[in-house]
Amino acid sequence: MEQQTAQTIPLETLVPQVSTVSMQTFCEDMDGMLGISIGCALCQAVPGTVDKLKTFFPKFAAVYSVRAEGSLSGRFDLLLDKNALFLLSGTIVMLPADKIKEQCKQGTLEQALKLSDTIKEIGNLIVGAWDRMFREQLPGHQHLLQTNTQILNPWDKPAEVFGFKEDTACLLIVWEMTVGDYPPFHGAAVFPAALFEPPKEEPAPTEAPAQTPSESGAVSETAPVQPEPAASQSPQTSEPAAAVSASPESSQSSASHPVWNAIQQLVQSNPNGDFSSAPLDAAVLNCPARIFMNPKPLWLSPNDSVETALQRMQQNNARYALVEEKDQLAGILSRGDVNAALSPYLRSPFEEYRRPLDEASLQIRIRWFMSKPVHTASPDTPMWKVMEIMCRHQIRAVPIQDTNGTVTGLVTVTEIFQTLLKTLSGGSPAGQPEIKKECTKNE
Amino acid sequence: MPKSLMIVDDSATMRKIIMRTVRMSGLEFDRTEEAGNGAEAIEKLKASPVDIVLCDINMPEMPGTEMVKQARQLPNCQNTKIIMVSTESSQELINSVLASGANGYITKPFTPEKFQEQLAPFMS
Repeated sequence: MEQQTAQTIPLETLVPQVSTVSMQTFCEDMDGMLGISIGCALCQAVPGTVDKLKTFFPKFAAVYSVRAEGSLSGRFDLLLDKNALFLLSGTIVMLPADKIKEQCKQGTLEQALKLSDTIKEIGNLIVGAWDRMFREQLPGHQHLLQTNTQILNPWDKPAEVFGFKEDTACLLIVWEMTVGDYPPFHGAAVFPAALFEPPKEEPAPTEAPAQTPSESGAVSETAPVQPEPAASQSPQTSEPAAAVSASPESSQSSASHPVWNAIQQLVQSNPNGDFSSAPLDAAVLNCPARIFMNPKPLWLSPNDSVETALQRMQQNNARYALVEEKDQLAGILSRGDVNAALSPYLRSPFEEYRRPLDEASLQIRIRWFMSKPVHTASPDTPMWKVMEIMCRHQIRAVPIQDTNGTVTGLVTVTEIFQTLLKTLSGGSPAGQPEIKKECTKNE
Repeated sequence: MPKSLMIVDDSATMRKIIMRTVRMSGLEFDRTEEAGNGAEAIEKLKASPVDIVLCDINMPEMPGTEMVKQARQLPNCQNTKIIMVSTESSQELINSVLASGANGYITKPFTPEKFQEQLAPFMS
């Protein structure tokens, strides 16, 4: 079983989980302080624009702006719907149950505004609970601060309410909450996608081939068939050019791993990168990717769920899947990524601790934790160069993309090792003549 | 022995929540006061001291720690037990609060049990 810690799970995956725990903690706080027993269940955690929340917040609501510092740096918003405002406020100020129910049914915005002090205080309690849980469960989190409380219909001027354009991509998390036999109410969190973008890094000075972001966000690393001068090939002098997932099992991982070390040593065994004059066994490293790539990789959609991805990968015996959106390569996913997204309580050793929330992790969309941008290579890129790309970016899978942007295959460390075993050891004659022929072409 | 309590918080809602939680803790006071800020609290204490003060730390105009310092200057508040209430729980803050003259510290979210634990020793 692969070990996953909070540090290895991408933020996009971790935030829905931690947010739900945080909202449940707020409910526990209310129970502890006031004896109000609130139930909280995750309705959805989906990508989308903020107008998708209209279904859950058809009338006025409280919008609490929160400034996050640390791993999430910027503003996000928490929402409580009309029922929540009257129900929680009414309970706090100890209104009779009948009065609370009547307000939930017929309360107006003007009446809600009269409760603004209580509603603001509810926001303080929510943000306080969230801050505690974020400190416990979100690596790198520093502080949450409630910066504003708005009680209004958010759909009149959403851009002003949320502080971003209406078509801004967001992570939307919605909970249904219940208090006794009162009408259920909804709470939500709106995280702009920009919050999850890694901090921009200064491009590292390198003599490696230029990386050109394509329309799909992929970083193409086309290389000439002929090996390059030594200065551009040493993995030690090249730094990762793009921020990538922190998971050691991630297809685009930045963590150190014995596999990378082994590949690095293999590449470094010929520091000049010129294998044309090496014995035939080593010359296989000049073999172009189109020869040893997997020409039929598994494809998924960014809107596929964790459950779907897991099933498809198991059915196809695939450890990696490419993610396609609008006919473009949008990302890459590893089994490790999928496992990291899954709640550990879904695994048999922890079965007895399983909660309904854990089942919800099966429905997380893969777009939120797939690795992107994707480092690619051309069909003519020699094996040594693919290995060098893997070393430089510490990844284990490189999609092969032709000059038209069409993905023609996938090279993983498995394909490389299989090819090396077949040829370097001379164990299997199958394929060797073709590889030999291709390698000879490059000499 | 009859006891009196003052709750100091700039949020009327939080004052209600604290009052409610104190009641749930089973502690009984013969007199309860509320103040919406530090200055109001000082004025009320000058006029009529109380046995126990529950005071929010983060208040506009006069922070809770400043209120404690001023309360300690009042001759009739030398024996008043002042308990600070805050969401912050860093040891550094707690130390500074105690150094300012407070007798105790309760972090939010508080529970009736927390109030019972903190206030009961001062009730005898």
